[in-house]
Order: sequence, then C-alpha cells, then structure tokens
Amino acid sequence: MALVRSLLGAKKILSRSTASAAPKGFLAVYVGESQKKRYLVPLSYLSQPSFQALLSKSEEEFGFDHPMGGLTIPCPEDTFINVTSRLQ
Amino acid sequence: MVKPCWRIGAGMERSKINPTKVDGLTWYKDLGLHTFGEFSMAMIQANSVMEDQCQIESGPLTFNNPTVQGTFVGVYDGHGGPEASRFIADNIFPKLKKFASEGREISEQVISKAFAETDKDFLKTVTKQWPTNPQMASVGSCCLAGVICNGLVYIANTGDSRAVLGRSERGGVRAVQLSVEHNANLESARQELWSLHPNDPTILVMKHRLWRVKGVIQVTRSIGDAYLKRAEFNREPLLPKFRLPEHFTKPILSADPSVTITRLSPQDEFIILASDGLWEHLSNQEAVDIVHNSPRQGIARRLLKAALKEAAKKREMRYSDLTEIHPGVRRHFHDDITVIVVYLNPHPVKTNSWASPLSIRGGYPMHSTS
Repeated sequence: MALVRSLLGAKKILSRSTASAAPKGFLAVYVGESQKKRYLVPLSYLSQPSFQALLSKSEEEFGFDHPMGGLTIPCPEDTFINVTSRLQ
Repeated sequence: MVKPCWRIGAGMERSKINPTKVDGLTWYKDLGLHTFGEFSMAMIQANSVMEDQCQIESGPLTFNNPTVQGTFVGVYDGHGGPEASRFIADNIFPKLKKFASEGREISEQVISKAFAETDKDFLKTVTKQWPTNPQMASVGSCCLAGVICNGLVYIANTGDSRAVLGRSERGGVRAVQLSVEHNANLESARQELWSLHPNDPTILVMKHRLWRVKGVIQVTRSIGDAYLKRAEFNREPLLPKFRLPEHFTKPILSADPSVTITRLSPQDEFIILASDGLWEHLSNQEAVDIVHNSPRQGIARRLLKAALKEAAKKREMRYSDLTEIHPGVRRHFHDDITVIVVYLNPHPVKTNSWASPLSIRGGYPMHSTS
C-alpha cells in the first residue's frame, strides 16, 4: 500500500508542476488503453524487470516513438498500479 | 587531373588536439586534425550493445597515387545487432582505396563499388555463419560516407543517416543537406519502392503509425539485412518476426548508395555527419547554428548534449536524470547517436604540407550489459 501511496503522492506533485519537466528523480508516464492518464514515477522503476516488461509491451505497440512525447504504457490503469505497487 | 587544392590551416595549435576518450556511455574525440582542417567526434550508446560505429581516415586515398590526398568520414548505424556496422567499419575504407587505386582517383563509381563489395562480402559472412548463427541474416546497417578530396565533397548514403553542410551567408550560416535518405517515411523512398515492386501490394505497410518495408523495417536501403535481399534466408531457423509470408525473387532492399558531389567554396565552413539518433531531436538548421556559434573544441559533444536535452524534454524529465539511465532501457528515451563535425579550411595548395595520416575508429568496444 505504501507504494500506491507513493504513486498518489507523485500525482500530487504533478498537480503542482506543469507538464514541462518532472521533479528531479521522476519521469512522466502516460497510462491507459484509450484514455491516457499522466503519472510521475521514480527513475528507479526503470531498472525493475516488471516495469521493463510494461515498456516492452509499449515497444510492441508504438516502437520507440511515443505518441504523447512522454513514455506511453498502453495497459489498463489497474494493471499498472498492480505492477508498480509491488516495486521497491 | 587530380590535384588536391586545400591544405591544413596555418598556426594550428597541437595542444588543442585531444586523445579519444570514454566517459560512461559517451565516446568522444573533442578535436583532431584531418587533411583539410579540424574535426570533432562524439557517440553515445542507448542500446544494450552499441550498434553505431564511425571512423575518420585522413591521408592518401589510393595505394599508388600519393597526390590523391583527402579525408574519409564514415557513420554506420547498425540495427538488429552490431555485426554489420562493425563489418563496414573494418572493410569499407580499404575497399575504397583498392577501387580508387585502379583508376588512380576518387570518383562516384569508386565509392559505389566500395559499398557494393562491402555488402556482398557481408552477405558471404552471413551465408558462412547460417548453420551456427542464423540471426546474422537479420542484422543490417545504414552507411553514410563522406570523401573530401580535390576541392569536392562526395556524400554517399545508404539508409537514413544524414550529412549537412554549414554555408556562411549574410552574417549567419545556412544548412544545406548533402545526403539523400532512404526511409519509408519519406515520400521519395516510398515512390521508389512502389515503382520497383509494382506487383507487391504489401511492399510497404503502415505499422506503429510508421511506414515499414514489408511491415518490418523503416530503411529502404541498407548494408546487410540478408533476409530481405535473398530468399534463401527467408526460412527457419530465422526468427518468425523476420520471416516473410510469401516467397520473393527480386531483392527487397538494395545497398546502392545515393551519391551527391558538391564543389566546395570558401563559404563552406563545416559538414555535420550524424546517425538519425541526432536528427530526430535536432533540425538541420539548429545543428548548424550550434556549430557556427560555439567553439570548435568539443563541438560534437555539444551537439550530442543538445540532442539529449531535447530527448529529455520530450520525455518530460530532467536532462541530468536522463544521463543516469542504463543502456538497453535507455533506448526508450533515445537511439544510439553518432556525430562527426568536419571543418573545412579553404586555403591554396602548398606542397608537402599535409597533416600526418590519421585513422580513428569510434564505437567499439563500448559498454555491454550482457
């Protein structure tokens, strides 16, 4: 649950910052199938195999050319929360 | 008549000339001397194995005519693995010298022959390795080569790397693109493929919102990619994603370079040669303006940094955070990037004033996560 909270915390950061740049140590990801929701996630997620698996799915769909600019993860939002809530 | 007419600038400070260096995922040489002036090189790795390669060779361009002096610059952007780009870096320049020696001069034909024979020899290697390493059939590379000699610059290109000339004009500098590119997302490249394969309705397929040849690859010409050149490789044990559903007789991709020849004028200041990893983030004019407005020392690294800053902005993150990302996953943020800036120094000939022959190879070996 702590990790879900950290995600929610990240969203709070988002509400304060504009879309220009994420806070230090974070990056934006756009999650969802049709509607994309913007999340800020810590950079450390990039080295986690389960997060990399989500990125591979996105590579299958978009190649490396992400339509939103930011990394786009085309999975259902609850899958994303499920995966990221297990991350350290 | 072949007569070199440019020489290195007078008063060149040797102390400015730096060794090649590696800093994390970046390989660079901040400043060096080629036959007609200075140059700067930089590369950065994003893939788990660096697939870009590059080289600069300066000095005699034939084995038998010492008056044919010049500079050869190569940028090789590999895909599917590093083997094809490495093969080009090992082979294309000696082949160019061999063909140039036959006619004792550089010409468009000499350069095209060097491309053709490099491709042919790579495909021979693929055939030889097929029983033990069949995936070599799906390895390929773009090949951009520039030859500066006799007051001319030849730009030969197979694939989607790019060469841009900076030409001074009314207080500024204008970008003049010298290379012709072969990428299915360019109208000219699509028209060419459709006219070469009029009876194949799936020669170009839109996939992931981008045009791809047979739905698999964006470049429409390349070195290697044996599976798209010879039907004998279009079978098991090649991975299914590279196998085409139907038989083909005519090669789908060709290794023929598009060659442009430009006579250099005193207004021509420099040429930027780079893999598409740079050009997806910087426009021709942006790159040329950066070079024109900055010191020569480390200019290639400055261009790299400008491209990475753009990449970070697109991904809505900080540049300093982007630089921390490991190769492999880093490919989601930018491609391998190679950039070489070659300054041109238009001075009259002075005999025996050549810079000493030079040979620099970039990009191998670099960091590997495997």
